[in-house]
Amino acid sequence: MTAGSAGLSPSARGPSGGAGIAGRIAAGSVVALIGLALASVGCNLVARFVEGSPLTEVVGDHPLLNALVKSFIVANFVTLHVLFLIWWERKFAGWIQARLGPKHVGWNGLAQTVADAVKLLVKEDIIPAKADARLFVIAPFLAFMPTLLTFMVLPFSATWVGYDFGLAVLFALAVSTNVSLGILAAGWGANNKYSLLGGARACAQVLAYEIPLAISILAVVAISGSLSLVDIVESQARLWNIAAHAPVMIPAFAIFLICALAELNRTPFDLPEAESELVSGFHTEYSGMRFAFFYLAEFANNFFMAGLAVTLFFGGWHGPLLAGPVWFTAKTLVIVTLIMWIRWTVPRFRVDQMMGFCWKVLVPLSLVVFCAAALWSVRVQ
Amino acid sequence: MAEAQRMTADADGGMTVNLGPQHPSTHGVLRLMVQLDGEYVRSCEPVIGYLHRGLEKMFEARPYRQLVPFTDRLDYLASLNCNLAISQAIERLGSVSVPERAQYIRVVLCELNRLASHLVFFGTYAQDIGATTAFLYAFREREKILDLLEAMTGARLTYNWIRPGGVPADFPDGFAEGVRAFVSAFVKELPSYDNLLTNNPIFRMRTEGVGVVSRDAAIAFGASGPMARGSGLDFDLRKTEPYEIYERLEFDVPVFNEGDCFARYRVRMEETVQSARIIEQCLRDIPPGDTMTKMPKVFKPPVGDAYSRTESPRGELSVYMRSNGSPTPERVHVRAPSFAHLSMLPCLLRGVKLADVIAILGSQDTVLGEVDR
Amino acid sequence: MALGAGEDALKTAGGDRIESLVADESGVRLKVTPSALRSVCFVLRDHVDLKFGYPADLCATDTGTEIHLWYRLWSPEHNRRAILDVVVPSDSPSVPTVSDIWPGFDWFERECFDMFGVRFEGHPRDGDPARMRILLPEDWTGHPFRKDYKPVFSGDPLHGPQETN
Repeated sequence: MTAGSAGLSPSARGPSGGAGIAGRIAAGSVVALIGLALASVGCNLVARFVEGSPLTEVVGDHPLLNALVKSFIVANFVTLHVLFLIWWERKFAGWIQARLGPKHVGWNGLAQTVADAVKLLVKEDIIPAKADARLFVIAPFLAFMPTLLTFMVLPFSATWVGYDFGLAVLFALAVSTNVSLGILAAGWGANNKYSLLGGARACAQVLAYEIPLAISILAVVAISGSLSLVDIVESQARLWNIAAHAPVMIPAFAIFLICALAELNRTPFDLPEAESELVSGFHTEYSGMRFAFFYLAEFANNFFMAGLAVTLFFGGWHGPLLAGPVWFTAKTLVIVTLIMWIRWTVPRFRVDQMMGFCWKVLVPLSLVVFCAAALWSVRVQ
Repeated sequence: MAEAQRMTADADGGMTVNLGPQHPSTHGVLRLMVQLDGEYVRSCEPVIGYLHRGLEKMFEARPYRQLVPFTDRLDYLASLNCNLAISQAIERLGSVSVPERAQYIRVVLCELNRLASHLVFFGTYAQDIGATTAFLYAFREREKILDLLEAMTGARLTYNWIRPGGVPADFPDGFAEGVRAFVSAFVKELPSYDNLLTNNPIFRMRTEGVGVVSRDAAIAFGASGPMARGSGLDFDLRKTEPYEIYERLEFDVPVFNEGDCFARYRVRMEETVQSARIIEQCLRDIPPGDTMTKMPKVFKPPVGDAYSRTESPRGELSVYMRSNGSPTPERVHVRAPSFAHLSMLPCLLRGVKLADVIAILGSQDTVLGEVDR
Repeated sequence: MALGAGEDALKTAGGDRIESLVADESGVRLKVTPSALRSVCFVLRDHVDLKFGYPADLCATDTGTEIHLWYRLWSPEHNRRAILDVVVPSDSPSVPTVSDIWPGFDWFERECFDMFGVRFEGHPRDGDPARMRILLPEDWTGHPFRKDYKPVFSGDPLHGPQETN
């Protein structure tokens, strides 16, 4: 008696062969180029409209109105862009894992994040018993706010920047560290030992990796000669930093990337939210919109760190044909994809290995790179 | 319901953390009460019994031929091995001989199940250490095995297909070719999956030197299977006390001496290659014939007892069965390998860091179904 | 003699408390009284011809008046099996522990207590029934695998019979 032959062929493999993939990449590239071109045109139109309109003169001079309008634009841009980034992360992760990612909600799953956000909004707001309610409630905002603030100094083009000033780099570094305050508050406030462990680990990690991060940024500053991000990008008008001063910039970028991964709590440094160990680390007890804030903060921070890398090493908004902001966003997305790629490939470090790596390897290495950069800048000048 | 408490430190300054019973990494409902001193484990106590269903007592109330489906739920990742253990015990009680073709089929099924179980280990262990992608690759391969087994038995997890007397039916059409094709493709792709972890410096840093079990400790605790073979104890029931047709087959038993998590991981990876060899040999040598010895409708074995030992993917799975001449057994006892392995945890986890707890627990590859019965 | 000097050592350790001893190439099966258990176990584990260092299984059966315990051991050096039978009366079954001789038997003894009520004198958790239980909840009363166990479900099936049987 035979039992039927369903599913016996060993063809439970992925959907298509090589030709299909090449075709899909080609189609995707064409779509991307068309999209970039359209976005360019859009940016130019917006710029012309903004420059020409009388509203700009009124708002431009009035400091309070100026600040409000710019913050409004930045905040909206960040939140909307994060929606797109979350979709991209899920799609990209799916492709690495031999599956397709979100497909059904919206065209190719683009509305998935919106659907998830709506779901999170209507969830019950749970504050654990005996949790430190004030800390518990304020922690997500403490985590999200610094990220928003740092976007104020990120230059999308020479004119498309929130507020550029002579100490932009310092401001960005100082403010982005405050995210660890939010994480610590979340860890302590949740009355949960997993959260506490996660929060403590995150704090230790962020503070430790700030140092090689700052030093590698200083290497770039030493060569560009200014702490203003706009000036740093302007100095790359002819050639990107990573190409112009390659022997120094490539190690600096490598250190910057590793430290950025640690700052972002991304694998291989994602112990604070190590799913398999601490359930969800410092955001175990959060649900609904409070959890969404942490999630948004993480992705916004991702974009910011990638944007910082592009500003410092990859020429910011410079590029032929397309508008400045479009180039900036495109380059940032490439770096963000690189960060995601690393996340989905590599296992995570243990706490002591991570700290040892920072203090014993990265800090000395970044100091060496900084000295090399200082010497190089003398040579260049 | 007790009133919630503000979390506090223990009297001696440490912190007691509960890992489980609901936890992504305990692979079942295991509760580990871990006393932490910062990141270090001072002591730990495993609490089991959350999945206790009283199977051994239920066995006493049912006729012999109804016992097999219960054993599916013991080690549910390798349920064919559990079916085999109890079927062998029943056959020995009643002196029932199994046709040769049925024995070959049983070996093929058990080795396929071993492959599937080790793939689950590979995927979940990688995920515990942090490399999520390997999980999906492993489950994609496992899906192919499950498709094959579904074509034969109709089920994906609890097969109920190795019964006293043999197997209920022969291979369906195309099954042998499908298995051969899968095995040859799997053996070709295995190095790239293995490479994801074995040559990954971070994975090796997390698993080498972690959770070392000495050979003496492995013996004293009754460790078997990859737990024992990763500590230098060359103990494989398929070689030391062969059952079915294992003595006719040519295969190696991988043994590593380091005793750490990495050694146990390597043992299981090598075992998959050996399982593929076994399956190929069986499909090549399988003789024609019956697949089942007819068992009486009411099976009343003579008074006595029987003991059956099998090598499940986790270790030595044994079934003791005692008959008093009635249609239902007087006593059935299942000795599960994971039970002995879990009892090693208090010793193994002392002085270890919290992140290593997960690595060690994953490398034990326990299944709570067989621990709790 | 199949086991060499090991058999003599066993007889010396147990004396007349060994009720039966059968030895052949594949191993040894002996039945002892509870009082001889520990001395015989030490010999089984340590004697050079025996070396049964691997605790395989501990099983118990309730026959109504008696509880039969048997221990299964294995020798990695000689690839031999040993079976040790011990019989205790089922009203107050009590046996010395072997969990310090073979740490692997620790949890098996706990399970035996949990299901049959057999006391293992000298076990680290002996005397503390709540902590000695392993599979059933700590506040469970009764030992389910005994023949005289009558489950009485009074409301909450999670906590077992609340009155003694």
